[in-house]
Amino acid sequence: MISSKSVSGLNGHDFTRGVMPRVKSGRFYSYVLRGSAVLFSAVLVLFVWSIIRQSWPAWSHSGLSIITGTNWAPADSQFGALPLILATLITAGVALLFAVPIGIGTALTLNYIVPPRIASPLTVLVELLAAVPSVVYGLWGLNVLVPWMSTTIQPWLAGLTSGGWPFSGNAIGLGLVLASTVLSIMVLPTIVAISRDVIAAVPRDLIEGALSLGATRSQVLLKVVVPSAKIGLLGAVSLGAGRALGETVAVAMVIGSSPSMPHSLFSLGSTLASTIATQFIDSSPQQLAALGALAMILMFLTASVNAIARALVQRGVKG
Amino acid sequence: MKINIRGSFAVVVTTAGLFASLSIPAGAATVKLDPILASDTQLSTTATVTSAGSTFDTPLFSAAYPIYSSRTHNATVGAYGAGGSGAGQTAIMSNTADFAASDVPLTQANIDAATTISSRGTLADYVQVPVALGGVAIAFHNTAITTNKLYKANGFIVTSAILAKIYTGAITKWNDSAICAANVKWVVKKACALPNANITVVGRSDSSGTTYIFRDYLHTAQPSILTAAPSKSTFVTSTNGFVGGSGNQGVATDLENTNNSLGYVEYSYVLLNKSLDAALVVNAANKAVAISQAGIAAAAATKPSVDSTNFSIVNASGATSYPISGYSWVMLRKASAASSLAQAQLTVKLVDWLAHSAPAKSGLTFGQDVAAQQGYVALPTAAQNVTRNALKTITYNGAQVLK
Repeated sequence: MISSKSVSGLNGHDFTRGVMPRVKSGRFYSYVLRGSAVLFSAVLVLFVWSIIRQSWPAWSHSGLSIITGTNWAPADSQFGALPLILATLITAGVALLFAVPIGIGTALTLNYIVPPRIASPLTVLVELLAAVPSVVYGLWGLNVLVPWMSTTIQPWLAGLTSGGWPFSGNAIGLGLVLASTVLSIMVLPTIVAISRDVIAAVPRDLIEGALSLGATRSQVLLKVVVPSAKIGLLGAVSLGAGRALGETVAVAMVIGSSPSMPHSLFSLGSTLASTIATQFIDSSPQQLAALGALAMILMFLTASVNAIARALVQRGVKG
Repeated sequence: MKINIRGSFAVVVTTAGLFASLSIPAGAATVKLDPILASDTQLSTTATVTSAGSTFDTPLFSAAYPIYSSRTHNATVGAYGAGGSGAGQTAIMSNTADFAASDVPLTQANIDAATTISSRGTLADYVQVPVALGGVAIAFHNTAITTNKLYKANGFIVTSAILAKIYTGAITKWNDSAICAANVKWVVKKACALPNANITVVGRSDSSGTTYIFRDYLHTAQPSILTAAPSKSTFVTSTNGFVGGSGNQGVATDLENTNNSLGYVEYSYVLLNKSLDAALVVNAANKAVAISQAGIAAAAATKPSVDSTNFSIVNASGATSYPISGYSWVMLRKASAASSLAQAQLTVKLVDWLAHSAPAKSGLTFGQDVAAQQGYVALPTAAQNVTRNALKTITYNGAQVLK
């Protein structure tokens, strides 16, 4: 007969509670782990607190008009960041609009369509895209894409709507549409790399089952693979969104650095991150506080994207 | 590549300086240095100097410091902290730098605003001296103008009124009647040959001393059009649709990439970017002048007694004066807060050396010689003397440092 002690596990601990047993020899290791967990959370809390403290003079000067105001003129103590928030959301949104279908499509292709001997060099190429530093994307955008945009792409876009919204205004290359283009190329490798992994993890028997029922390849990919990998794909998109919202240098170089309210995709703009990067040098203490407020708004935006993705994942798990 | 050239150039100059300093006893008979400059490298004991501030001065300081420290055995000249004029003002007020550079002199209002710095004192606690002289070019990119055969002979001319109206949004076209009126040679058979295109206006996205000089010029010359008092505040607002560039190079790159654009950059950036064209600017004597070292020096010469409260040389009189010119400043503590006499000596002597040109035929390279090589304009002799006299008022433990 088996004793009750041996059933409940090592030293009488019940593993089903999800807590590791405390063995004397493992105590030091567990302290190190707990210590680093506490330290990391403490760093995050202090970090957020210091940004709030730094930006406090701006909030107490302008209040919520920082979020609703449309005039960003820090030298005249005007801290209306709405144009910056809109430019951030528009560039990230348009970038994802292109990067998500292309990225997931690329991941499906690499996993299921092309043979491995072609897929693996292609994968390396896509991953190399992620290794290019953002300032290089900015330079490329400035020197290669700007002339091409202003002479070829923008006139063509304007022709589509015969100069109407959203392709109205002066076509000078720089602006929201160019920033979105550069961003979509920059977030693509992130989306491809993660989607490729989650798609590869879709159980083989699901796919074979669908095929044996007579499903076509496109039906299998769109009705079986993508739905069963949707939680992981959502994670890929939210990471891509985080990068698009926070990208700084490349955007600062191609967006035109003008804090104007976006009227069309040809408008010049300035995102939250690019404004911080271009204006912190030579700022008075009050301007620095306003830039701190922008940092707070940006953190809130990226945290919200994260939270929404988490909520969707939770729903996905339950459903 | 550019850095390499500059680096190897510095080495050459340094070596030349070393040889020159070794040969001083022999050369002293032919060229007589004033006693202060003759002892500019003598320090009582080892010392370190730190400096920070305006990015406008970075090329000058990074080229000049190695030359000075190679000649002065006891000195360690720390790298220049180029964090902007505002950072420089903060550094000197909080005593974290021995001297700081700013494109616009420190004012009592700046000091009053820095309520968090307990050691800020009052304006009388600081000595401010000019250390670099430069000009602001009106750079433009318009292939329809620069490829026109009229351009080579006549250039493209702007006036203060045209610039003020462009930057306030009143002029938006290249062939505006005011621009055509200023460029009479472009009017052929009563038709203006300037292109009928919109002007893409480029300004600075950051606050900047270059903007200050440009605003100072527009406000001085056209107070009824640009009513705002000069400031470093950008022209790029949320409504005018101007393009903002970060730093002088940012503006230069935006101009290069955008046809039909016009902006303002520090002179050396027009020299560096060969593809940019600079407009001729009509000065106070009603002459259209191109930007040049001689034109900037002529403007500076009209105000020999420059000081930190009366420093503006924009819209200067004189037929050859280039009207958009200005000084950059170094700020020091009047009662030196250095930790030793040697440190106080090094600080003051370095700034004195930076602000002087070496006498002709001395074989030496002083700060203003480096400035001229780096695309600035050497300070006029009068301004060099202003600097010398102001530096003599600095004391350490109550005793004059520079003597």
